[in-house]
Amino acid sequence: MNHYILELALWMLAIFLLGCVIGAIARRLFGSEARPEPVSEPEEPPTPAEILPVAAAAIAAAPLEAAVESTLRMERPRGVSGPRDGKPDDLQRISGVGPKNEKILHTLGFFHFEQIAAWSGEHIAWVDDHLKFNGRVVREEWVEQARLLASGAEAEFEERFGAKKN
Amino acid sequence: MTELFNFHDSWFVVQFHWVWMLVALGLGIWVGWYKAVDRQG
Repeated sequence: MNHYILELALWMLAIFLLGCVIGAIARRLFGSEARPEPVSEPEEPPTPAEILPVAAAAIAAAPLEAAVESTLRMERPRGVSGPRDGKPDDLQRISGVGPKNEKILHTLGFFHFEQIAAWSGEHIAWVDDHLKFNGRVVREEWVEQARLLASGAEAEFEERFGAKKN
Repeated sequence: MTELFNFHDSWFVVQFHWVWMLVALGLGIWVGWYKAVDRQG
């Protein structure tokens, strides 16, 4: 009897693991299109613990009332369908944006520095929450970096955020 | 010990308990799907 149960348990374990692999592969194949859907409307409101780091960082960078107001409300920034003339800006020049984040920003419709520079507090809160960054967007001053890069203020950018990445 | 790890005719278990196998497979797919979150970096 014990042997029978052991066999059954082993089979179930093996099939469970097989299911895990199938599920993971299925998400890789079909998950990318399904992903933006739940993201545009978060299923449940963020908890205070999730909001606090974003709020704290935003407060340090903006007037108190505006920061509190903006971080309590999140709004998805509006992206575009493609880069102008098919040439996106090198968003990886923003310190904190790596190849993967650049890809995500492209997926969200952001290809140019001035788009990121135009983010409001609500937009920042949404992006930060979406990327699960716990305030990184504000801490690393993505918007300020993007503003300098968009305006062509290379000298000031390098002085404040380091030399140009190659 | 040899008796314990003798899995001859083990396929019978799968055929007889196919419902549980389906449950295990479904659970596995569900877990695999929700754990396969692409991390940003």
